[in-house]
Amino acid sequence: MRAFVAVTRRDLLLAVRRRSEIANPLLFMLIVISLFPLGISPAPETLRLIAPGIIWVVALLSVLLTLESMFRADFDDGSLEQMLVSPHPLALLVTAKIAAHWLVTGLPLLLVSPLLGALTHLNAATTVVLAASLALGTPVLSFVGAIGVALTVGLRRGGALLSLLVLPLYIPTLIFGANAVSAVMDGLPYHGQLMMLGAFLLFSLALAPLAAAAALRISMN
Amino acid sequence: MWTFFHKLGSPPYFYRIAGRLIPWLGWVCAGLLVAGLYGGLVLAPPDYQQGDSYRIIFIHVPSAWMSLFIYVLMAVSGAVGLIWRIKVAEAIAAASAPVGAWFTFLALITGSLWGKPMWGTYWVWDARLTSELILLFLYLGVIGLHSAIEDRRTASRATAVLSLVGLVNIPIIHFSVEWWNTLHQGATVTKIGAPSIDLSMLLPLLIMALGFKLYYFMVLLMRSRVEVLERERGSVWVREVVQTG
Amino acid sequence: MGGYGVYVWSAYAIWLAVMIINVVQPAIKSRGTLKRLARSINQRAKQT
Repeated sequence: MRAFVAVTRRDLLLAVRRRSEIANPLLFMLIVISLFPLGISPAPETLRLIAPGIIWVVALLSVLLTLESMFRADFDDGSLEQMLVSPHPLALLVTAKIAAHWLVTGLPLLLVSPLLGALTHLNAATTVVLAASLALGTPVLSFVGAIGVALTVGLRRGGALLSLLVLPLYIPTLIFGANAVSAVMDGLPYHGQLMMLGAFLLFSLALAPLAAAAALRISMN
Repeated sequence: MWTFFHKLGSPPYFYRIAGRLIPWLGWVCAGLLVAGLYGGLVLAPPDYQQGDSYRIIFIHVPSAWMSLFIYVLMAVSGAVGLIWRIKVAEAIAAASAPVGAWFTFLALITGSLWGKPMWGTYWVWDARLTSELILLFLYLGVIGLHSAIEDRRTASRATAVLSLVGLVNIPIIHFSVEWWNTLHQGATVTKIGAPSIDLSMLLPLLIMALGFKLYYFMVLLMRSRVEVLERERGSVWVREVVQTG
Repeated sequence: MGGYGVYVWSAYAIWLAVMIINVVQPAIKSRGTLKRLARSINQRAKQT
């Protein structure tokens, strides 16, 4: 447990020192979201129809942008190898890194979601569900993404490959996340969707660190 | 039985047995495919609703079955290679991915050619076609990862992890897509896969499916023979094989 | 084919092409691999 906290805290400290790494994905998200009214239509009813989908798709992309940094610095300075030989279970350390990654990327995204809702004319109730769906869904993205990063960590042209590996696995989260938001807008029940996201979260929490640890061991040898 | 499997795990034995099996598989498979095609294209009567367009079923459905079957086999043999470090299993997993991707491609293309006369458009976001498209992405990811890693054994092990993750995710993806599809109904009229099918149509379909399976095993053996050769290139038996022709 | 000939036959043509490609490609590859391995083994034999 102490190792878990230490790894998380170290990653957070590093992230705070390089603030642009936190800010860039958020700016990316804001800019891309503001492209849609310009590209499609600024009419509120149109925006409301597409908002859940675009916010979720852009969230996927901005998480994808940040994934590579999850193990990159540790790979470059050799601390990843230290982790492999350390007495603590690797899956635990990987979970700590994933937690730190989410705190740096998913949480800020969650915090700006009211702003995203305002830009796309979502009402207050819908914005709350949007935030809830992001709160449950973005950790899944970090967990599943970690497997992809672990598999591609040693590769030179890993970036494009990473999106090919990870995006198909993000589809269930996208479907239920975006649908929870559109359901509440249509006055339909949305708890089922949120519960599915919760189930995905627990499932990925249980299995993804193991898979990512196995993948790390393979790509590091 | 077990000693047979044990022997099969040894690359020279596998190479020899596979070389002997391939022609047999080829002839039986060709016979089945010709019989299936004759039954499907000549003997089977036109469907009373779809006319002759349904005849695409005889290649579409077996392709779709194979696409899933090959993924499972690839993931399982990848896992076998990962756990017991059996080189032949690694070669089989590596050889499966391209064949599986081709069958997925066939299922998509034939599905869309069937969709044009039935739905009036080449592409409908129908649950099955969408799942099949995602399966193609999964295959392409596996192939991409395998070709991006230089060392073959590392590539095999990494790919095995990825295909196992994919295997766990396929039911989840399938369920999500099905659920998503029921929400957006209207555009979809699922005509593919009639609930009850006449024996004159079912029989060629099953023959074709069997032919596809044998075809896959044949191509699999051909590809994994090459894989095994490449992986064992420094060993004595490969030298003997190469020198005797 | 009752007016559906274009679709049915193009589906079967694509299928046949893919089936042939998948048999021919590994056959060519295996021949190439055998040749390449033979060359490298001969070279090594000459060096020693």
